[in-house]
Amino acid sequence: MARRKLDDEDDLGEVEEGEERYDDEEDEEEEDDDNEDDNPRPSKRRFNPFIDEMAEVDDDDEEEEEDEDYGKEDGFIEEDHDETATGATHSRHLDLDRRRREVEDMDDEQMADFYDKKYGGRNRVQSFKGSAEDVPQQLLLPSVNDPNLWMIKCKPGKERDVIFSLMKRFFDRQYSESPLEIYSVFARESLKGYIYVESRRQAHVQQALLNLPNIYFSTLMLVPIKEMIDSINVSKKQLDIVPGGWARVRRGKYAGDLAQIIDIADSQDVVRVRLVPRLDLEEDRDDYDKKRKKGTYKPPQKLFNPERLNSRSLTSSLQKKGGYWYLGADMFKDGYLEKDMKVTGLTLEDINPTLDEVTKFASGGEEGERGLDLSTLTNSSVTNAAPNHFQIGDTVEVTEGDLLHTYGVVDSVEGGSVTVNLNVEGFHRLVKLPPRQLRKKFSEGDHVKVTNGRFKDETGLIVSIKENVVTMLSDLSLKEVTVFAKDLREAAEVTLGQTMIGNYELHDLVQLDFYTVGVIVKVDRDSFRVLDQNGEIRTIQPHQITNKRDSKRAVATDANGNSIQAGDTVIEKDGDRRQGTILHLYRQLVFLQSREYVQNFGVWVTRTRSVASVAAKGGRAVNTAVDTTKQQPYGNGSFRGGYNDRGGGRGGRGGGRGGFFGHGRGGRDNLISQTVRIAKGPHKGYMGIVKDTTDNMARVELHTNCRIITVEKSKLVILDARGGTIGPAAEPDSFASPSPSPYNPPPATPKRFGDGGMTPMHYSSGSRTPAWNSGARTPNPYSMDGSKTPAWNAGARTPNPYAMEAPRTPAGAKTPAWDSGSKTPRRGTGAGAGGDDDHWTATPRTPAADTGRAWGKDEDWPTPSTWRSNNDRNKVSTPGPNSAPTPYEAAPTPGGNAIPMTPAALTAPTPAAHMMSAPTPGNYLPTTPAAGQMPQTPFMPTGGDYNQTEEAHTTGEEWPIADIEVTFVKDKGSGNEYDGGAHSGQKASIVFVDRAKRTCKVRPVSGGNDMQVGWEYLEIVKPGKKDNVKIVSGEHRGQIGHLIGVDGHDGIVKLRGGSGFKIMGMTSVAKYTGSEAVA
Amino acid sequence: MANVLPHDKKQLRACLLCSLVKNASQFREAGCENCEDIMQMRGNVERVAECTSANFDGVIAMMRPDESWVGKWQRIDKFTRGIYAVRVSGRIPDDVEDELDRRGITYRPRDGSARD
Repeated sequence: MARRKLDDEDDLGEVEEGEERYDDEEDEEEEDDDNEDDNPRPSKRRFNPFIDEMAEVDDDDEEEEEDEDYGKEDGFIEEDHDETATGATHSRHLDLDRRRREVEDMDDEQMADFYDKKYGGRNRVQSFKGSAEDVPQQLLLPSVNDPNLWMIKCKPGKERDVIFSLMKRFFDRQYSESPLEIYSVFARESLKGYIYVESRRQAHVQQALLNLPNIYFSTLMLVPIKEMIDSINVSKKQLDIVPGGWARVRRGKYAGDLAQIIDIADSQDVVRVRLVPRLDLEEDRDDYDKKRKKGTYKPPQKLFNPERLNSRSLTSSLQKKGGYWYLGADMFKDGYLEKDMKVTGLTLEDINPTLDEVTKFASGGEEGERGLDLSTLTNSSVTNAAPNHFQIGDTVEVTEGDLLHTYGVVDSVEGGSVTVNLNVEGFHRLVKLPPRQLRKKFSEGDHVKVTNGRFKDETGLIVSIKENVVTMLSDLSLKEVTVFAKDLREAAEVTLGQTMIGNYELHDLVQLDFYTVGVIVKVDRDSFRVLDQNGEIRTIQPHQITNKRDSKRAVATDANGNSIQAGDTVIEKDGDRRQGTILHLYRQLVFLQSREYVQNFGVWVTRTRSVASVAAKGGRAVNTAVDTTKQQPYGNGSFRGGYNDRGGGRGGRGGGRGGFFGHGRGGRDNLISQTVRIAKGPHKGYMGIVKDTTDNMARVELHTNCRIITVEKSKLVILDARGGTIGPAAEPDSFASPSPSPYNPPPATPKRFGDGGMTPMHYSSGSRTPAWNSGARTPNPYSMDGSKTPAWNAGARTPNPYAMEAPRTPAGAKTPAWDSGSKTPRRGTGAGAGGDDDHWTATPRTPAADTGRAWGKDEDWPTPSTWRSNNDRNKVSTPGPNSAPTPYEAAPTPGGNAIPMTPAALTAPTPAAHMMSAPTPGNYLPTTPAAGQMPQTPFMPTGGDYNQTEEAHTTGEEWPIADIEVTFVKDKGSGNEYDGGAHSGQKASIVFVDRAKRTCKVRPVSGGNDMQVGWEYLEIVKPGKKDNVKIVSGEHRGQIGHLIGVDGHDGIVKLRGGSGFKIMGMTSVAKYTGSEAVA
Repeated sequence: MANVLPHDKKQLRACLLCSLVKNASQFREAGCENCEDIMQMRGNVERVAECTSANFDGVIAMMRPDESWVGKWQRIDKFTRGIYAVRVSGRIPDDVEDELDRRGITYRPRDGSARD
């Protein structure tokens, strides 16, 4: 009690203010009460000092008042004394006397009651058992007899609300009919979004949580008994707030600033920190409000110097007291601001102060009164070193404690401590030490890597060590870099710092603006050093880069006319004759890199014409040949020359293509400045003008709002002046020029017309039309870029018409060709005949015969594909299907491709007649694009192969079909003519095909008797425009249609019953002579 | 009883001895329900500041301290119902520690540093 009274007296002095005071000699109890009653209501207290036990405190005012009057209290009490000497005291004395009498009147029992009543609450508390019984925590482990814990999800951040409202609910309902039957609820800060409820039954939990906001009921998890301890033991490590340590301010003007902790309050929730002031000294006070409204304004950090205050209004409020300058509410010492801040307003973990920040504290006040030693500061900064700064194998020095100045090697790092193998006077022993007692030890000449801070990931050689501050020579910049030892680790490797920000990487070719590109030569922390095309180094922020350019496929010519591309090693022709690797090609410029030069980080730019290739990358020819379609040469004259030099695939694309190329891609993409409409995506339907293009993207300025957006070219449709659609812009190579072509290309086959029909594009376009596609046999070799006969294989594997139909007619299983024709009864019979192998094998002259034999031999030949490959093989071996001696062979071969496509095979009633004109190999070669290409393309061999295989395939087929016009020709194999040439050149119509005998019954067009003619003497008559046709080969064999037009060697056929047009090789269509209506 | 329940989410403080959580004003008005006898902070702002801490972690709504395992584990099973902190950083003032010593009570800091 005595001690407490002492406290009370202190309190009186400090706390009470503006109110009457009692004399010291007054009753002890009264004073006691008085102490609790801060409310200036003397009258009430006067009459009833005992009962008023509860303190009536006006908290907030209280605090402020207390603060303000802290310094003035001494004189204050005296004043109070004077006041109490007024008349009012008299009545109080009377009152007290009366009370004392009352007390005296009480007997002991009453007395006891009275005190019990008075201090009852406290007496209860006195039974404070707190930790009196010393139960080890082991005995407190949860058992099955304890209630269970349930984990419930709640809205993150609302944990406390939930718990408070549950507590309230408990009190509210404790005497109601449904009291809460849970035992406790708790939440941890470290586990956001969950609360734990302790209860015996799940139902109780649910009842308690019913209708509580922010609770997600669905997740109610029972915590296993083993894990109960873990759920309540907060694993968060205790923050060590040490004077001299560092913190960062969370909020306000100093948010993010480094603060040094000077002093810590006992309760550990308030610390005094030292900050570099951010004073707004330039501004007048009047402007202060304005500034506040701006909000984001943050004055620069600057040490406080009272002499430099230039504003009078500020100077006037400046006071000096006990080593501190006071400016308003701020306290300054040595130029620093000292401030009491709540711990919660500071970040204390992972501060990682940079040397820059720390040196601000080290530089001392501007008056230089007490310049802080850098090393002392850094020492304390190490105290914040987290254990993860240490890695196994680090050499460390002990900086604190008994083992001061001993060295060791880190053995392991676990939790908050580091196990060090210390070398104490020659003895090694393992010691666990807190990381703050350790410092990494390096020696000069060590090669180290920065693990933290601005220079993170740079490596270098240590040149000097001063306590904790290590200066190293960076490998990258060759400059001295000063960092803390804690941020270093030994490293053998040489790294050049980070090499990537966002999408951009070191040595990327980037577009800076419309006219400028550059190569990233150095990646800084948040910017790039870029060597632009003019050879200047610029510092560029990532957002200043328009986009990244890909020059992987760019090809250029060097001084010797050799082609060069990225990755090649070249040497300068003149000047320093530096040798380097090509990083990028851009127009006529080449960006080179060599590790041997330090200037501009070993990157320089020069003209392609001034370098010479040292050694080209291996396998170039192959690569380029394959990739030609994708090559994006930055076209200029010299470039194209070089291009042709290579004799690469592009040139081989044939004349049609070459011409186009020269005109289309010469300078810039023809798409530029075209009016386009966007056909897909979020901007679908918008019209605009193409401003710029890349490989597959176009920048389109929209008409509607002049905005420029980037759209894939494939989503663009080119429009003409009147807004009519010209065609897709998707394939700039083939269709970039929207010059009006005779065909407004039907969607299915735009390309084919675009580039004149004869080029390989033809085939790729063909691959779009179902017919071609499904007839996988023909176009594929091309679309596969000339690899030898993939199409065949592919065709062999894919279900083709033959295979498809095979199951329908048993006989057909053996002879696919037959099958395909097996729709008509006649064919059916024919097919049946076809089953007779003799006939097949009987024609050994032609490749077809061979295949037939092969095929025939194998009884189980299950799929036509095998047959075909066989056939293929045979054919390949015979070089001249084109020159096949029999007209029969010749006719179908090249047509093999085309024939299946044309629907109207029926037109040719007299095969013989027609055959004459069609079958010459010469005829073919032009027909098949491959032939045309042969001389030029590197694919030649494949083309050749293809041709042959193709023919092989077609000869294997039985082209004759009823109702087509044929002509009499020489048998190419024997040179004989039917009937001694009597009918040579005559035209006839096939009436009936005898597959078994390989003859046809033909009826001459000019009239006359039917004749039985061997196939070999007949050839299909090529139909003319607007003729009715019948398709003799391919999946449409047997169908009839109308030949709309002829385009080179392809016919445009409208099949009967079909909706669209089909493009078919002219060799696969024959003039229809039947009477069926074609339309 | 309602005095035990914080009326406000702001200015919460936890008793350093028993980890009871209340508003600062409640501590000043009524002291700590459990340890007022020892702490004697009723009405004394400074004392409240000394003996309680705003830096605490985790909250427990203790409804039946005597039966609850959480209460046992937290060693608050003998205390009143109310909101408690899981962990409070800071230590009680020296004089309180002396007083506890005199009463033969071992002081266990609530900051989690005690391990046994």
